[in-house]
Amino acid sequence: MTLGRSSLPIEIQKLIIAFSSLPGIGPKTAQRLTFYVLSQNIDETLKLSDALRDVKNNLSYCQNCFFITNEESKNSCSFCIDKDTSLICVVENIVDAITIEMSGIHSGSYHILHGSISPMNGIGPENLKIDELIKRINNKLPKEIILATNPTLEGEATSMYLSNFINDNYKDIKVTKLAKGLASGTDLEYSDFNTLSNAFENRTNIN
Amino acid sequence: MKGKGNYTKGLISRCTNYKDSDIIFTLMSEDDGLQNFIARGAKKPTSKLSGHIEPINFVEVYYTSRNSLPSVSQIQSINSFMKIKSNYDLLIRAQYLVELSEKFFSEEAKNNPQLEILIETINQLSKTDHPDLVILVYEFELLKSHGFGLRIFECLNCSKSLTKSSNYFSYTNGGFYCESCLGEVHAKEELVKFSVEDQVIFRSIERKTYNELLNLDIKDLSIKKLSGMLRKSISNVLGVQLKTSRFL
Repeated sequence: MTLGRSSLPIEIQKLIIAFSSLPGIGPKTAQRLTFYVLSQNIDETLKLSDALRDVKNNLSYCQNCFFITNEESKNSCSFCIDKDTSLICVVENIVDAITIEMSGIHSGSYHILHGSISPMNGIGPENLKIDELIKRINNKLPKEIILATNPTLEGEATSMYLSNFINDNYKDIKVTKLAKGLASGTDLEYSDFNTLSNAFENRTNIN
Repeated sequence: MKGKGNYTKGLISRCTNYKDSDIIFTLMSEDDGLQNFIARGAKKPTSKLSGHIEPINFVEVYYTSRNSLPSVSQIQSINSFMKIKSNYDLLIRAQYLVELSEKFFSEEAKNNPQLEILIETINQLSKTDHPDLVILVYEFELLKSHGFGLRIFECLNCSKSLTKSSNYFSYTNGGFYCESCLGEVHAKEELVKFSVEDQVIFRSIERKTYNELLNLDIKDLSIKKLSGMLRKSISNVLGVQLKTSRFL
């Protein structure tokens, strides 16, 4: 007779199911994590549960750039402070904003959309923070909006939707998007037509 | 692409990120119907696979299937439909065509004709000034080729030839009822009154080529109305509402 998961105490089963719901965690890993948590002392386990609770209870989104904030004033966050508001960099996710910020190449502010337009998954412009971006533009007209969405089909769709909308409604705002082309370390031989075409279109003068 | 392993051609319908740098994608293949593949490391900037793995790319794939999910070792784009992908409206329409076709694509069966028609239709989308007409014709022909063709010449109830007058379309039964049968069926199902002109469009799609249809100068409003009805019929056949249809 084998010992099935249903014969385990309900608390263990619940934790396995909770871990399995995380991205990239399958049932086996969830089971391993559960038994690891069980083997830890109570202080270590409470640290984990407190951290999880605090993330949900204490954090919210800044109502300006939609980055995460733990500040009481939700109209601007530490990520918005001392930024050039005439330049808005629009990104899909928080990690994209962090990556650009860490590189130190952008001195302007950010706007995080929290996703991209994906008709195949039923995600449209109304599911993203696009209305909030428009409100922000209406409050204070920026000089330039940089569309830094991912060079995927969904990212490009989002970028096209935003550029069409901004160009149609705000003639004075310059809309730019990140250059696309060959990545460092790649072979020309293995490049796809799209990448090659973009690299040729965006070629630079080196005289 | 020669050597060990297997080879197929097809259109990528959807991609999902998996683990840190892998991509799982669905291919509407010409040999084995809908097939899922894993492209390991495809999200790394230096990956030789990355640029080719994108929805609405017609590709040839070289793969090995040691595990349950075939693993891609080489991939080459045949057609990336770049003109479609640089226009938001066309992109949305192409995604609708792909989702629609995917629902009718049988698994593990040769689908050469359906794949060819889909690629030809997406190509046509990038050339035409009437993308909605292209989609209407595709929807009409797709239903027909899967045995759900609309009955547009005779009444669904009495089977008499439909006369040159207003008739009533039923998307649940996929066809028209004549005026005299209206009393018998009206209470049971939702019917939409179709003018003679609108019925002529359906008949023209049945009888004429796409280029001949263009010469008819069909109004956008009529195309919209007919597409709306066809989409209801399609939802009825599939039992689900296509996610992309609300974006059209």
